[in-house]
Parts: sequence; structure tokens; C-alpha cells
Amino acid sequence: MGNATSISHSITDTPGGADWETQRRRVTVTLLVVPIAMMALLFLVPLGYLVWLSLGGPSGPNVNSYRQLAAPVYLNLAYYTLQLAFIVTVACAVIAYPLAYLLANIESAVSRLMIVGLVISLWLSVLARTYSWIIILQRNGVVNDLLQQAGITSKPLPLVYNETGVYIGMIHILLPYMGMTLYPTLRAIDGSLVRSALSLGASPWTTFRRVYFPLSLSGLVSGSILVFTMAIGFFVTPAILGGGRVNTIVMAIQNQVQVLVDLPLAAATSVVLLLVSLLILVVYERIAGVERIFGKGRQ
Amino acid sequence: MTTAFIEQSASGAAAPRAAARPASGKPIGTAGVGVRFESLAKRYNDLYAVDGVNLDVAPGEFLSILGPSGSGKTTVLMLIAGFVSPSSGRLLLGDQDISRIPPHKRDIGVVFQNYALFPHLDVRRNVAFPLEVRKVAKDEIARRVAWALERVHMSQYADRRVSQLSGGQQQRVALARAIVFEPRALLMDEPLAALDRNLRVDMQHEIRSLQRSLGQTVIYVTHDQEEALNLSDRVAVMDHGRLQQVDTPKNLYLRPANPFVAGFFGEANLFRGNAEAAAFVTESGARLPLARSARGKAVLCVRPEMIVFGDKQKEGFPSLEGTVVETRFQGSILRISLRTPLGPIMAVRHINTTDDAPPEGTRLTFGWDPELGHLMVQE
Repeated sequence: MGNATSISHSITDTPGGADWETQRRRVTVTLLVVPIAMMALLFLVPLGYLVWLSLGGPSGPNVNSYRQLAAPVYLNLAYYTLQLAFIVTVACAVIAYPLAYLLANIESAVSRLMIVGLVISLWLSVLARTYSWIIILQRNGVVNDLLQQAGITSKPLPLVYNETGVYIGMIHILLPYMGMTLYPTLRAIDGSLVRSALSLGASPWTTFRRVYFPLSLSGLVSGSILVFTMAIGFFVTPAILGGGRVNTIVMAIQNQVQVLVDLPLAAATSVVLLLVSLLILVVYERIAGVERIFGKGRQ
Repeated sequence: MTTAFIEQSASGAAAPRAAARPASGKPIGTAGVGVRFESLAKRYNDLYAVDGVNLDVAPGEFLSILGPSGSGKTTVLMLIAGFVSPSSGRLLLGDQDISRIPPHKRDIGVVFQNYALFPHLDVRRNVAFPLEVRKVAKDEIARRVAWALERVHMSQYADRRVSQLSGGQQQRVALARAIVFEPRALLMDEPLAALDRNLRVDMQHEIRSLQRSLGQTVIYVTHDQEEALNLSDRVAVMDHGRLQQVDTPKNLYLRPANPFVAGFFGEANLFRGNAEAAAFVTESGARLPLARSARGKAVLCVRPEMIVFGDKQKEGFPSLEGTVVETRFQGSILRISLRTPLGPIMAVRHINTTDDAPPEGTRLTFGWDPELGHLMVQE
């Protein structure tokens, strides 16, 4: 209140000086200084430092570290990480879609409770959620106990400290992100469009395929981008639930820093990971063309 | 600028226009069939949203379902379209019972209030949609889409995105999409409610002439009396889930079935009391002559324009006195509010340039032709 008053005062009091527009521009620029400075200091500077380090740091510039990354071991790791992230993303989409559909279309106390549950699960520590899966999935855990009592298996199944455990954990942790991105999109789809398609002779399945699904695509794309990029950089869950059997590119970076103590190599790996993530984002956006589907920005 | 101009010329083309003849093949556009409601009811828990509706809509008839919000008209619409199934009763389309048939197998064209065009498809694909899902051959789809767009004067917009169209244009496309698959009946849910007044009148005219030329059966749901009177062969007035009266616009105005209908169409002076043979005795004890003798508890309805003053009174008219409370000039008519022993009375008089409006406080004698008073006896 006090600020606003003093601003308008200084404007009206300026004798023959800058007009309202110029004044306003000055205020805008002043207000932008702080966030821009923060961005530069907290993101651009460290990023620049990372790139400088990857090019050899004080002994550079050279591309030795990048050359090292072309080794089959790193290429395999990168391929495996992308594959892991892809499968997790698809699984999240397949599980979250019907869930979000129910939440968006059923008006009840239950659906509200489920949304609260989804949000709360985002607040919980990833570490706590990961460790609880060990308790559930271990040899004498709840799942194996039930399976054995039901007579489905005679011996406990290896559900954790392997790939299975990593998939279960990562899908569980990333699922809410897909759900929370899909939900508002599905919620925004006008029910009269579905009714309209039905009245025009489209069966419920055709209506879903030709009207509902295309309209939900934008949410599916943004959810997938979010989950995929998070999955590529996931560390805690694969490290804990993989029991050393599952290696991702991020775990390689940790190894380079702590075991090999090769900071330029670690920096180079990080830079490549960042570029790959950016590239995927751009390609995904191009293919899906979210904006083009709705013709936004075209008048 | 260009868009606005084209739109104007399109909507201005209300003058007689040759019906579009498809270039080849059989003519498109089949006449509608009748719709019959047999004691149709929809109950939500213990509440009747629609309560025992009996109604026969003739093939090719334009029938409006009119009612205030909460009257049950939307539920009737949902019942016809098939999005809601009746708790009891039957709904017949032609001679087929469609009460339990899912919406996509009903072959009823529905036009929604918010147009409900598919935002991810262009105009042509929107109109082609009902034909594509029916697996109609490609060239036949092209022929029929061209025909439908021509009928609503939207041919030049076929490749536009829905988001590039104005509200009126979107409504035309929605109309084309609803007639393109030759439905057995058309159902419209307040299709013009979102348009501005001038465009609404244009569109009313176009919907009416399209319906006439196709011979299509139209059930038109609205809360706008003027629109219903303007468009319909008959109007079904609903309130509290029940049909109050189904009649021609003229009869609804001159012979309303009950005070609700009388009050819903225009203004009415309503007197409550008892019919005692040739006279109607109001609650305040005044005796008013009746044209036809009747007995029992009743409401007498006298429209404001039927009230005449002073020297225009004739033999047999009731002779009453009142004081002018307010006069208001409304274009071609003058509205006069009177305070009388029978309660407030509203009269209208066509503007006569030779005499002035009576000033406030003037005492006037007034009456009406008993032939024009409408008695509604209540059982």
C-alpha cells in the first residue's frame, strides 16, 4: 500500500518529466533486477563452471573427458538409462491415465480423498518411500508372505535389490507427477464434447479414441516429459532398490566423483546428460505439437 | 475485418435462396419422424425431475419445451438424447421404443448450447464426424458435408479451425453437423442462448426455414418465451417436472391453462375468486361479468391490452374505478399502472398522438369485454 502510494506520487509530482509509460518501464526493470541476478548467480554461473570443468578445468581447454565418454561402457550405461526412463514413463502413463480419468469424472468424497492422497505422496520424502519398498518387497516381506500363504509360489520371489525392485520403486515415486499433470487436463475436457460425439453416432470406444484421447494428449505429453526427465536423473531409488545390480548414468557420475575422483569426467557426463534431456524435450514437443493441436496463438 | 464482412453477408442472406441441390446422387435430407412420450418419468432418489410426461410430437413438427430453470426441461432433453434413462414410462421415436437404446444408436441430431464442436478438428472434419463413424464412403462424405455446409451458409469456412469462428458461425457448423447424417429428429438445447440479440433473431429465422425445408422434427429446449413463440408450431410449457400446457403460441397467450402459464407468457392481471354462474366474485367481493357461465374456485385472466377506459366502455363490460400510479412510455405503447380496490392493475394503450398520458393521480373508469377475459377453473 505504502509503496504504491509513493510510486504514484512520484509520477504525478514529476514536473514535465518522464510520462507514465516510461515510469512504469523503469519500475518493471528495477523489479526484474533481483530475479535475473538470482538466476545468473544460482544457475548460469554453476552451469558455466560445470562446462569449464568438463573441458579440463585449470589444465584445459581440451575434450579429453568427452573422448573418454565414447567408451562402450558409458554408451551402454546411457542406453540402459534411457530405456529405464522410457519404460517407467510408459508404465506411469498406462497406470495414471485410468486413475486420472476416474478422478476427473467421478464427483464424490472418495475422489477428493484420492487427490489428497496423491498430493500427500508428493510431500513424502523419496528416501522414506524408497526404503518402505524394501520392507514390503524383501524375502520375508508382506508381498512374499502373502504369495506363499496363497500358495502361488513356494519360495520367496526376488522382488528387490534387482531390476524389478527399481521399476516398482521408480514407477511408484513418479506416478503422482503423471497423475497430477493429467488430472487437470482431463478435468478441463468439456463433457458436452463426449455427449456430442455419442449423439452423433460414435460408440463409447470411438468417442474415446477420436475425441477424448486427442484432447487429453497435451496433458499426457507434459506428464511424460516431466516423468521422463526426472527418471533419467533418478539416483536414490535405483541405487537403493537396485542393490548394486542396476547402474544408471547418474550412478556413474557419483562413481566418477567419489571413486575415480575424476571431476572433469563427471562434469562432462553431466553436461551430456543435460544436453540429451534438452534434446528429448525439444523433439517431444515437436512431435506432439501440443500448441498446434489446438491452434493456440493463431488468430 | 474481412471475417466480419463475410459473416454479415452470410447471415444477411435470409432472402429466399434456392435449396442446395447436390451435384449427383440421391437428394440429401430426410423428413423427421414423430416422437412420443408415454408417462415418461425420471426420479432422482425421491425427487421427480420429470413426472409423468405424455406428449406427442408429430413428424415434421417444431415443438419447443419451455420452462424456467429447474423445471425439468433439461432432464427431458437428456432423456430424449439418451444420456439419462427413464425411471418409468416409454419414449418412442417413430414406432421404435428407444427408452433403453444408448445415445449413439438413436440417430437423433443434437445441437448443444455451447456448440460442442471438436476443437482438434477443422470445420470440415467436424461435420464429417457423424458420417466417418458410420463408415460412409469417402466421396459420399465429401458430397454430404458440402451439402450441409451449404445449407448453413458456411461453405467458405470448411478449412477453418473451430477456434477461428465466431459464436454464430460455430452454431451454424454445429447445426450442419447435426443434420448431415440425416437424423430421425433434431434436438436443440438453447442453441442461441450465447448469441447476441440481433444474431439470435437471424438464426431463429434460419433454423425455422431449414427445419421447414427438410421437414425435420425439431424439439427445441429453451427458457426464452419470445424465442419459443417465434419458432414453434407448438410449445410445451414445463414447471416442477410436469407439463403445464402444450399448445400453439396463440392459445398459450389467449387461453392459458393455469396461472403459471398465464404469468409466463407476457403480463396478466389475475383475479382470484369463485365463478358463480354468470358472474365471477373476487376475493375482495367485486362481481365481474363472465361471457360463459361457470362454477367453482377459479382465476380470471385479463391481459393488459384488453383493458379499455372511460368512453370506450360498452354495455356489459365491468365498470371499475382506479387511480393512475405510474405511466411509462415504451415505444409504440403506453403502460399504465392503476391502483384499484381489486389490487394493482396493469393496462397498455397504443400511443395516440392526439391525447396525452393521464397524469399520476387521475381517477379513471375502466373495464374489458367479458368475451376476452379468460377463466381458469381450478379443480
